[in-house]
Amino acid sequence: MQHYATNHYNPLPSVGWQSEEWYKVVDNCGEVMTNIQMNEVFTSWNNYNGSNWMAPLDAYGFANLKWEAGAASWLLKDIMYEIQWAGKSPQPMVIGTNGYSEQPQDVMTRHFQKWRAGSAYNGGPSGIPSGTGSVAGNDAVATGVFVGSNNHTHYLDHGRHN
Amino acid sequence: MTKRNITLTAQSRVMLSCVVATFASYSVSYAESSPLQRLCNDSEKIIIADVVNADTTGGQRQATLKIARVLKGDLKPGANIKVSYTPEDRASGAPVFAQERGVFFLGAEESGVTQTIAPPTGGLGWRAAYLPASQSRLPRNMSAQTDILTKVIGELAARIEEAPRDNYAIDRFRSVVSPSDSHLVQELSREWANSADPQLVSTGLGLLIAGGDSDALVRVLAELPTLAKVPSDGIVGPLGNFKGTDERSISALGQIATSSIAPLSWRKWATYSLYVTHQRTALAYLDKLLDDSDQFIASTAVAGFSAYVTGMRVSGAPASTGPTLSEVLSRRDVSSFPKNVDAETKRFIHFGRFRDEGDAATHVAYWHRWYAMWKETSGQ
Repeated sequence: MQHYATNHYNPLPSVGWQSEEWYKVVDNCGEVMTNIQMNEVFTSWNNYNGSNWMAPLDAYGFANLKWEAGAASWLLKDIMYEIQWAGKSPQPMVIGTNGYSEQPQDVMTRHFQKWRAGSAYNGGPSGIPSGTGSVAGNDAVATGVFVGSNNHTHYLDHGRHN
Repeated sequence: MTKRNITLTAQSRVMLSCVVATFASYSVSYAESSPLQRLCNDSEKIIIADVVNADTTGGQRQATLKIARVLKGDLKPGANIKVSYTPEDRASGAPVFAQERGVFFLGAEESGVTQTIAPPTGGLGWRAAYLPASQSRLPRNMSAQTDILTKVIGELAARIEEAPRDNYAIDRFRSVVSPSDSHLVQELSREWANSADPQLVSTGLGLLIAGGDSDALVRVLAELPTLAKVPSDGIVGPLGNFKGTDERSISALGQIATSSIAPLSWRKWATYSLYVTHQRTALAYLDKLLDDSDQFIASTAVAGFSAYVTGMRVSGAPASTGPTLSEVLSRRDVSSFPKNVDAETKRFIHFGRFRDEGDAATHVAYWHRWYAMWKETSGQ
């Protein structure tokens, strides 16, 4: 799993941010793979700085990679977003308006995430996690070849894998 | 007989390591036609439309669209149409974006509801169902004789020209539009590459590089400090898929790969292109990249030397089933290595990531030695 690009968008017309981390999947011989299934499991998550932001709503399998014509290649596009909702505290900012700050005081949620290739099955459960402290997917039964892990961090004005 | 058995064993081991990592992949070939071409062909109707309302819950959702223009099919501008879509993020409460104009690709109609065909780009909620179109700008130079693919590209381009800061529209344009799709892509690429807007320049140069233009690659090197900072990076994709083998191209790729100011992603994928094209002029850069602190770059540099000495063919379009897959896998068939590759060198031929740090150090040291000797004997 090789990082390819980070893209930040304004989730118009909603107010907030949307960030996408794009990856290519490379086989053990260094060849870029074309159309493979992937899945993600969140094994832990935490809120910081008094935020009540929810855990990621989705930890479903990625049934197929997405096409990138310029690269003539398939990409895994992982989408993160926060949009303003009544009751959310603090309210997420419009993309980039906090200068893409990644200072400790700007971290709202951080989740540990594992990736597997070759299967879209992450062990469930499907649907919305029950809130902060729950897990999405089941690391014990998720199928596929483990290919990487990262922190999935939601900042005030953007998201990032780090 | 014994010799044959030994050969097959080694061959099987090498191939198996690739096959294990590639199961379930290489199942679809898109090499024959571009994704946008396929999307246009597969759609019964193509419209430019605004959403009137849309469901926010449930797996399969419905929306009502007001048709602005019709690119394919017998629908009427100004009419409403009910469509269904399946968002990728199926969780209840995922946002519905209801105010953007889009290009919608439509399939069969059933009980008054027409299924949308999602572009292969991904997206958040409702946005995954269409590609962004312009609210106010009409596509340029279209006529009744213009082919549908060009019309769609014109609609997508109009959105970018209307809002050059709309990274989302730009990224989706780049995701589906290939240089070979239409003469319009060539026109737009050159125009954008020479515009005053760095974002458009990045997109234009990226499209030119994707079409094999080595001048555009050289220009990226010259304007690297500016282009590396644009929010929507049009360069990294084409950089990793460049197949040009002329000296200027290899030199530009090499300088980008070894640059101290290029983004890591550019350096990674420029190195990948150096590996894939494996020209002798790339060896000096690969030698430097062997010591890179990024393991992907270092291992790809080793693969570059390995590809060079084995004379493996330059990679083409994404691998698919059939002969192309066989070719990809047989690159690691040790029995196919040229006879003039000596036994010691064969031991250090390596593709893919290293087992551990020791494995990395051994291979890096060998290829440094090999390159020094090659330089001496070849007079380079």
